[in-house]
Amino acid sequence: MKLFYIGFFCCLLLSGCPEMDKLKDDPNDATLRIINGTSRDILFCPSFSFPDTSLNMGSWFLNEQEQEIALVRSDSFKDYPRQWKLLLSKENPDFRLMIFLFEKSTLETTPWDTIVKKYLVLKRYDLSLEDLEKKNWTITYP
Amino acid sequence: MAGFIKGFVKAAFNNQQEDGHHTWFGSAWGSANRHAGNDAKLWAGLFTADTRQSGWGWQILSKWTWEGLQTFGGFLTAQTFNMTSQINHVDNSKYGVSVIDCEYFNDRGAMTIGSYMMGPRGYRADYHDHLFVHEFGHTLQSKDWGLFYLSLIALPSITSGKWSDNHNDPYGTKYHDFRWFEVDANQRGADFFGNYADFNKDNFETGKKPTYINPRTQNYNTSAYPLNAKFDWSDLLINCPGVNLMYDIFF
Repeated sequence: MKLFYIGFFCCLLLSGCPEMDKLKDDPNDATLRIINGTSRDILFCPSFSFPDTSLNMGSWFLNEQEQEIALVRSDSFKDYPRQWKLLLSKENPDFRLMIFLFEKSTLETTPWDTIVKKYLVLKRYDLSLEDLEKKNWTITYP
Repeated sequence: MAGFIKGFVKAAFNNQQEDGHHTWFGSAWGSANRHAGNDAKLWAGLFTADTRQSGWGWQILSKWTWEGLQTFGGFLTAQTFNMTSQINHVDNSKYGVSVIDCEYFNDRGAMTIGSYMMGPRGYRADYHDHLFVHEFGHTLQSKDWGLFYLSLIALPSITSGKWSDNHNDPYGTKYHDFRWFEVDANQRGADFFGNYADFNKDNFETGKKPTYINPRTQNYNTSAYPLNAKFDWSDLLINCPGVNLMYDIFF
C-alpha cells in the first residue's frame, strides 16, 4: 500500500500539480460614510448600473444578510470601506455611482415589485469620483 | 481516528490555541475533533454528487473511474493539508464538490484538483465569490476531460503560471488569464451559474459594475475573469506535451 501511495504521488508530481490560481482580491481604497440624521431607520444601496436608474438590484437586496449590512439606524452613521476608487476609475468620466436610500419600514411593508413600480426611494444620489472626493466620502441624509 | 490523534498531538505540542479553549488539553481536544471531522468530510467528498442534477449515481461513478486520477489526487492533497496545515471548514453540501477553507491558501489563491477545491479563509461554495466560480469551472473541465485532465489541462496550466512568473506578469493578467484552459474554466463556471438569477456575468468577466458583495472578502468582486482567449506564441510551448514538463522541471 505504501508503494502505491509513493507511486501515485510520483505520478502526480511528474504530471505537474494542478495550477494554483493567484488571489487578485483588491484592497479597500476609500470609506464611504452614510449619516442618517432622521429618526427613521434607512437602508443604503449603492448601484453601478448608471445611467440605468431603475431599481434593478432585485433579489440580492432583499436578502436578509444584505439588509443588515445596508441598515443605517436612526440618528447614527455607518462606514462602508470598499474599492470605490478602483471601481469608479474603471468607468468613463461621465459615470456616476448611484446611492439609493430606502426607508426600512417601506421594505418591510411593501412588496418589492410595488417599490420598483412606484419608485419608492427616499433619495437617490448620482455621484462621480470627483463629487465623492469633494464630499470627503460622506453622505448626509437628509 | 488518525485525524483525531494527529490533531490532538499537533495542538498539544505546538501550544496551538483552538477557538474557545483556554487550556492545552481543551485546545488539543478541540483540534483533535476538528481534524477528525475534516478527515471524515474529505472521505465523504468521494461519495458526493450534485443531487439537483440528474444521474447523481453516474456522477459518483465518474469520480471513481473517468476522473479517478484527479479525484484521488485531490483527496490525498486535501488530506495532506489536513495533516500539515489548518483546515477551517469542509463543505460538501453543494454542487457535488468539496470546498475546503484552508489557512495555507491565505494570500495565495486557490487550487482545484478534481472535485477537491482548496482556497483561502472563508472559501465556500458560493457563486457570489467569483474565485469559486472560476475554480468550479476547473471541476467541470475535470468531468469532461477525465483521464486527460491532468496532462492536457493541469500540466499546461502550471507551466503557464510559471511562464507568467518568469515574465514578470503579476497575477498572470497578460498571459495566464487568457490561456484557453483558463478562459474555458471561466466560461464553464459562468454558464453553470448563469442559471442563477442574481449571478452577475458582466461583473465576473470585467470586474466592473458589481451588484453583490463577495461573502469571503466582504467586498465587491473587482477581478476580471475573461471569457475570450488570446493567442500568444508561448501557447505553443505551454500546450506541447513533454516540452511543458521539461520547462517545469528546468526553469
